[in-house]
Amino acid sequence: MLKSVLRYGCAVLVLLTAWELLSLALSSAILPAPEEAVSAFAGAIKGPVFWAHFRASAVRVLAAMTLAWIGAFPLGILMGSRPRWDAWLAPLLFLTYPVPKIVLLPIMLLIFGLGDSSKIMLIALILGYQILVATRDGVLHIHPKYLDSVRSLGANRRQIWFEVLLPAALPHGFTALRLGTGTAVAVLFFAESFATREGLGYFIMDAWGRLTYDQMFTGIFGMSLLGVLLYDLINHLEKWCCTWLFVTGPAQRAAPHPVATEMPMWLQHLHTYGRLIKFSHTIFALPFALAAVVLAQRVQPLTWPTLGWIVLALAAARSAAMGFNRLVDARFDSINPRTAQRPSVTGTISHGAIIAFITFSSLVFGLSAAALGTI
Amino acid sequence: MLQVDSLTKSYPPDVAILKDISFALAADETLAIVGPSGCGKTTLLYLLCGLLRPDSGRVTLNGAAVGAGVQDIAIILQDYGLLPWRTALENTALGLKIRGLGAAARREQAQRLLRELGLGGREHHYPSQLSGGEQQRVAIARALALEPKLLLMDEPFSSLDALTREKLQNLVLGTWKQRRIPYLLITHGIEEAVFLGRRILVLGGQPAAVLATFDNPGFGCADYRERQAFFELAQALRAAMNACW
Repeated sequence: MLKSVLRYGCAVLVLLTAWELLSLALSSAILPAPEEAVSAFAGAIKGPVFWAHFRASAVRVLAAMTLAWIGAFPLGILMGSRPRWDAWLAPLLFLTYPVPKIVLLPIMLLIFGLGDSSKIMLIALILGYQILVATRDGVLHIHPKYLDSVRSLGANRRQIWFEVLLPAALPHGFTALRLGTGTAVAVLFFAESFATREGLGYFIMDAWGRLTYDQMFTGIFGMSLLGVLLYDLINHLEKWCCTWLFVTGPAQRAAPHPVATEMPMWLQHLHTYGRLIKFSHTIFALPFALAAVVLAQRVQPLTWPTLGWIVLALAAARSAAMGFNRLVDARFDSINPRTAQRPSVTGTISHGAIIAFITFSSLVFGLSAAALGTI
Repeated sequence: MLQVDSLTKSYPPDVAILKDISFALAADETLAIVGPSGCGKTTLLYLLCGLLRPDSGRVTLNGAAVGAGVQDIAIILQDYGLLPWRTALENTALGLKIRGLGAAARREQAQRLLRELGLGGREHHYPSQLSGGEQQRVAIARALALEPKLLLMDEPFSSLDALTREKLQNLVLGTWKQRRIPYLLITHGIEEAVFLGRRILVLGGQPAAVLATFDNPGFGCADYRERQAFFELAQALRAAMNACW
């Protein structure tokens, strides 16, 4: 865990250094230094203009994704499960699949007008093809034993659809959708550079035209933020729809945590509490706090003690909140297979101990916040 | 009650699988069919439950012809056939759901069966979280939930370790003694056939036909595995199978 965080940190460092060096070497306004781009972005997200463009883009992509899913996912299941339909539809699909749909924008504009619908339709068309192909292939490869087993129970077509085909196809649809976010954002940029005055694509092209390159990077950051949020949204949807993919197998459940036996007692306790609140996620959250520190430094110089207090405050606040979460959710955690092995459920840590832990963490948070000064 | 008359089946273009298979299973009986892997045992089972149609011959259950999705026959497929996206409870209740039973009623019935088969507390686990033996128990629970008139099992214990297999064989025998649902078991295990079959059919050849039939009067004793009669029948069965192949 720590290692992977370290590696991500290294990657960010390498990228920033390369950017810095490149901008120094070019010494041109087209590529501003990273800190200038970041501070322009920080300034923009305070105002309403950036968010208006962001919202316009988000609405277009989300509408396109929904439309693509509604159209392509059921069709993919149909083609994958009914050979007679597939025999006629597959040639149609594979003849049109290689056509770069992006060249159809002028036709889309002609049919659906200059407004949002033409842009949404273009993105939906491109995404829809990906979902359709992935879903069809996934359904084609469903092991016949699942169909036989449900048929032997007397299932009719509708029941086979809902008990077998739909759940078996879901992960394939989600994979296509996830891979499609990158494509969707790229097509969005293209579509928004025509016939519109809102959206991140317009924002970027406009800044470019006005030679305000730090603004242009604000738009670029906005697009990557949009992409990350979409990706995350799809991950959450998949976790919610496909619970069975995210459970741990019997081997992991049967064996006690392997590290636990070789560690000294105090370290074991530390490890158990770390597992209770998923301490690794505190480390994942750290970059956000530190990014804020970097921005704040422009106003007030940073000292080592301040940095230490900030990290301590973050860790303590999250520990208290997560401990509280485990305490009140214990009832639900015991039902959910993913969380059934949490120390709070198995009884490795008693309720009293959790309350003590929350109290202690809250105290540490209060103290470290006080040390940072009054608000 | 189950009557099978001269079944013949071949796959296109002209691979003959089964030839002139006939046998009967009485209401208080159990039947084990042994044969080598790939001899058409699974095809026979699919014909018996109506998932496949024979080229000629017929299968009747209590006088009525068997068609697809017959409600009186429950089948336990090789590798259990549990749906990975349904929990143990949902898998057990699946047959009842397909029959249109209400959510609360089927849940209650499935829960009772799972508890009876020693899976209490595992209702909300997915198949991937269960061991092979536990998955097999869920498959048995799902079949029993339908309260079938006949139970068909296709090499149900072939992928389990020896001790788990014996435990589940005892479970099947115990369930039979309690509920008296006649079953037909397909297996390639000689000891398994002797322990679980009141009568034993040897299937073999290409296309496969019934090569020998054994009566098993000692069937049903709890300690049958330790008895002399068990060893003697297993020896005779082994000899018959060796002679055929």
